[in-house]
Amino acid sequence: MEIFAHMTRYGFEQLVVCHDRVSGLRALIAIHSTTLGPALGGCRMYPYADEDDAIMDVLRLARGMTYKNAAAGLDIGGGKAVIIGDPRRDKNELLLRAFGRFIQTLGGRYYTAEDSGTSVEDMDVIGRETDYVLGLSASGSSGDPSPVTALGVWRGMKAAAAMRWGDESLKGRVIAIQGAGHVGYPLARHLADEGAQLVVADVAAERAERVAREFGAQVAAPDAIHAVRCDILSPNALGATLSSRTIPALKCAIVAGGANNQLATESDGDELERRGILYVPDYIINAGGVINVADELEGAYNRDRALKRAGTIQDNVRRVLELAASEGIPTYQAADRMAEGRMSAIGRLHHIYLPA
Amino acid sequence: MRIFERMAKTGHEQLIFCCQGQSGLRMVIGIHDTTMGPAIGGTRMYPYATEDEVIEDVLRLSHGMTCKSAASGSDFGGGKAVVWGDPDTGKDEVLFRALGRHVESLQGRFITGTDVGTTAQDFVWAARETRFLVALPEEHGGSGDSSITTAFGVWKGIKACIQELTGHPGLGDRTVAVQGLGKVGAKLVGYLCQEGARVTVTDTDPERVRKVVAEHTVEVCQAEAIYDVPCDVFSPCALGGILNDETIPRLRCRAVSGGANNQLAEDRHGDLLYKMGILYAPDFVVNAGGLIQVSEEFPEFRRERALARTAAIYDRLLSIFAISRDEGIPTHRAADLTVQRRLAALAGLGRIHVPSPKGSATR
Repeated sequence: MEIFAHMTRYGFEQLVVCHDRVSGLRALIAIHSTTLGPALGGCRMYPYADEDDAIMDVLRLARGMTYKNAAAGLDIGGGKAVIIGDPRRDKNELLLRAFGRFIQTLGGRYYTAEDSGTSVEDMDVIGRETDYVLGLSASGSSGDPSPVTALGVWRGMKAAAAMRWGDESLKGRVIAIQGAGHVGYPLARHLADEGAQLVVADVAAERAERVAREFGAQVAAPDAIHAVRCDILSPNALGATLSSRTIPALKCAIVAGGANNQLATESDGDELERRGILYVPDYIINAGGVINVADELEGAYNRDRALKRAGTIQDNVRRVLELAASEGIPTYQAADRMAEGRMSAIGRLHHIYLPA
Repeated sequence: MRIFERMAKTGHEQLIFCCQGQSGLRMVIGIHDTTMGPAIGGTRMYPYATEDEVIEDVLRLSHGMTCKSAASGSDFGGGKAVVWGDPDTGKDEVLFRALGRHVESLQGRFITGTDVGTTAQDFVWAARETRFLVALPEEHGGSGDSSITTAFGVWKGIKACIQELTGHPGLGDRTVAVQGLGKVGAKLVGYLCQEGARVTVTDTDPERVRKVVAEHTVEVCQAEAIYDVPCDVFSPCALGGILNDETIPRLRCRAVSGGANNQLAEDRHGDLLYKMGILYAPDFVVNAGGLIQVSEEFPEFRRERALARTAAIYDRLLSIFAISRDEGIPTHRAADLTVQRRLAALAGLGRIHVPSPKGSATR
């Protein structure tokens, strides 16, 4: 692939290719933008079949983090790392420490954290070589981000409800939850507490049954949940669940969930708009996780502060939906515009000279 | 070949692709090995046809810098930067400041300066954004033009060859053919003539030839004819890749020792010279004077120290020739061996824990 063509087209700063002969480490660190501050994004480990796939993935994900972090109101830029390898077979102390060493070489321009294929324990090992890793197991660390993500999703849903129905209350609303895992489960609790009627599905049947048992939810089949008649569909599992295959079957008024990359393609966002379904852009509503982990950068981590900030996702969603309505553009475009607007505005503050 | 595959082959640590919007900067920084210290190497600017050529060049050049640094006894690793652009039309303040900003972001893991396609003056712009530069103009705190030191080292290299061949290092009445009268070649001719050597020169630029002829008593030949000149030492001081299948059979010299980089088109051409009984002084050992000079900018430049270390190229070559003799291997392989041995030895030192290690590249 043409690396520079892609980087210049999408405004990247750096792509760092890291190789260590002894451990066999092959890692890529992409720093998309540091306009707002040091780049932050998780480290994924995956057995990419081809080097180009890994490069495309790390670039795409890093750029996504720039938008997510900017829109969430954080003073943090966008980055991401991938380690090429099978997390079950190829992971070991030496490999992770070599990776940590390379993160340290960037002097704090990039902070890593766990992501798919890596764990909190892996972050502890990486942390032996670098100061720039978040989400360690030690006390004072931000810990499991999922409850904070769930809180943000719940509050984001309320903003969408207010926009759609003029009332933010979810009492009596039918909400279909796709995925009852780390985020889906605590989300169900918030919704049940507010009096919503839940339908839930998960590929792991016991997770769906737990939500049914504890919160009185109905259980649906994982391949049918998207077609359930409901007020709000909430994807909280895999990405790309909103596609040309699924969208024609949707019977909801709002899509609002914690999953990443919910739209298979941008045109699926246009299609939702055309069908009159209010789509809450994924990276706006699921920013609770990064808000939580970024709280570690404010000195000692404080869960109350992280939860309070995740609550502001309600305002962010409202702003995006209002912008989309006033400009007559799809919501996913409004989200990008809000993120770009903040980067450009805050970036301009650098123009004001400060004495040392 | 894929990027990781190529890095694995040469043992590279890092490749850093750098972009910057306004300036259109496209640069790759190659960090080959930092066992000996922060990577050091110049920044080249060239209008490569493809991205693949950019990557190939930065990998090759940064690897070469590790060899040069190890062979000269410097506490620096090997690195190089390549800017993809046209030096005649693509240079401006923003470009070099963006470059400097990226260099600064590496916090001193990579130190750079001028190379083909860039000038010391270009880096005066970069210096507004980064501390990690060498070879700035003297009025900006750098050690200035390093070609004098390089030429001095090449002269010492030629003397080492003559010592190896004859048992005496004197160049009186010895014949030397110098290819290229650029910054290094022209100064080398001065050292050679001063010692009474008989020198034949050539350059594709007649103006350069005219200048040297005006100052020194030398023979001049056509650019292509330099390979055919009967002489004691052939000294390539221009392009790389000039020791190849076409030129080697024509050589009428007893030794090759010059300032050019990457003189052997391929490794096997070193083997060929060895078989023909031509003594090859490995390029990265002979031409290390420039690197030695800039590496002496830390913590504070002293010219006498740089020259003393450059003079030691003479002894270093003799010990490489001795390895070649003792182990029955060509000199370029003996030089590679000394590089690997120094890297391994220094890596071992790192195992002794010291609470706060003494860094080399700090001013």
